[in-house]
Amino acid sequence: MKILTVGAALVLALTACGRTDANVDKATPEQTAEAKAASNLDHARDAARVANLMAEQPAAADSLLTANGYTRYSFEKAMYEIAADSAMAAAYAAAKKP
Amino acid sequence: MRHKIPALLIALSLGVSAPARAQLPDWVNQILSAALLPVATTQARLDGVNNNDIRTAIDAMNRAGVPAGEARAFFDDERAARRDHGPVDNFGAFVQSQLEAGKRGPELAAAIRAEHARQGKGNAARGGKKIDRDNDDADENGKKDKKDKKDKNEKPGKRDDHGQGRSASSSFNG
Repeated sequence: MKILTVGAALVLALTACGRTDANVDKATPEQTAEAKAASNLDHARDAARVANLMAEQPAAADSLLTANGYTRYSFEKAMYEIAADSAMAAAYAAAKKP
Repeated sequence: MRHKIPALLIALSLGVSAPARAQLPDWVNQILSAALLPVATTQARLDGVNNNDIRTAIDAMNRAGVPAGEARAFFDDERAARRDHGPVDNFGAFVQSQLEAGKRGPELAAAIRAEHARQGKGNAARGGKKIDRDNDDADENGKKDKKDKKDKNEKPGKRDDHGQGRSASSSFNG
């Protein structure tokens, strides 16, 4: 009897977990696209912030890159990625100090 | 003597700070230049360079291993050539072909300038005015009115790039 009770509880728990996952997956493609676009813009603005810091303290460029999760190589790649995207490039240009 | 000490201190501070900046490693100067690449492409878009052409050129330069700082200088040159001679068709494809031919740096810039001089649709007679013939970023750059005016004056046969550029841009921008 106890085994049946425990089994039923397990089934209920697993079902509940499944429902939660299903709800999470219900984000529409539009919502996903919007979230991605917003994330891209944040990425561009953050890169501009790092670029501004390096321009202000060029002698500390290496440590600034590292502290912000970049390497020289990955920062260059980020510049290419941002430059190719009109919206990201515009966000970057707006945040980049002259 | 009292006046000499502050003067000496100022001279010393200048003497120390100036060489310190000049002695920045090359990679720092390169990365500071690279940091201007998105600004350069934004300005190019504002000048009316087709977004698809920019993407093609950027992708080609990235694949060819061109440093981002050099790519930035390239877009500055492109803008100058465009101002002087007007836009050229298939600018991105032309850049790609030149890169595939092994051209880099000043040689690539010279090829682009020569292409503008040869094929540029417009010249100094237009007074360097911006030409939005194929700018598919016009809406987001606030140039819709200007573009609409242009469309009204445009001959039907010259709109090949519009459809292509616009559809690609809309999918690109999500």
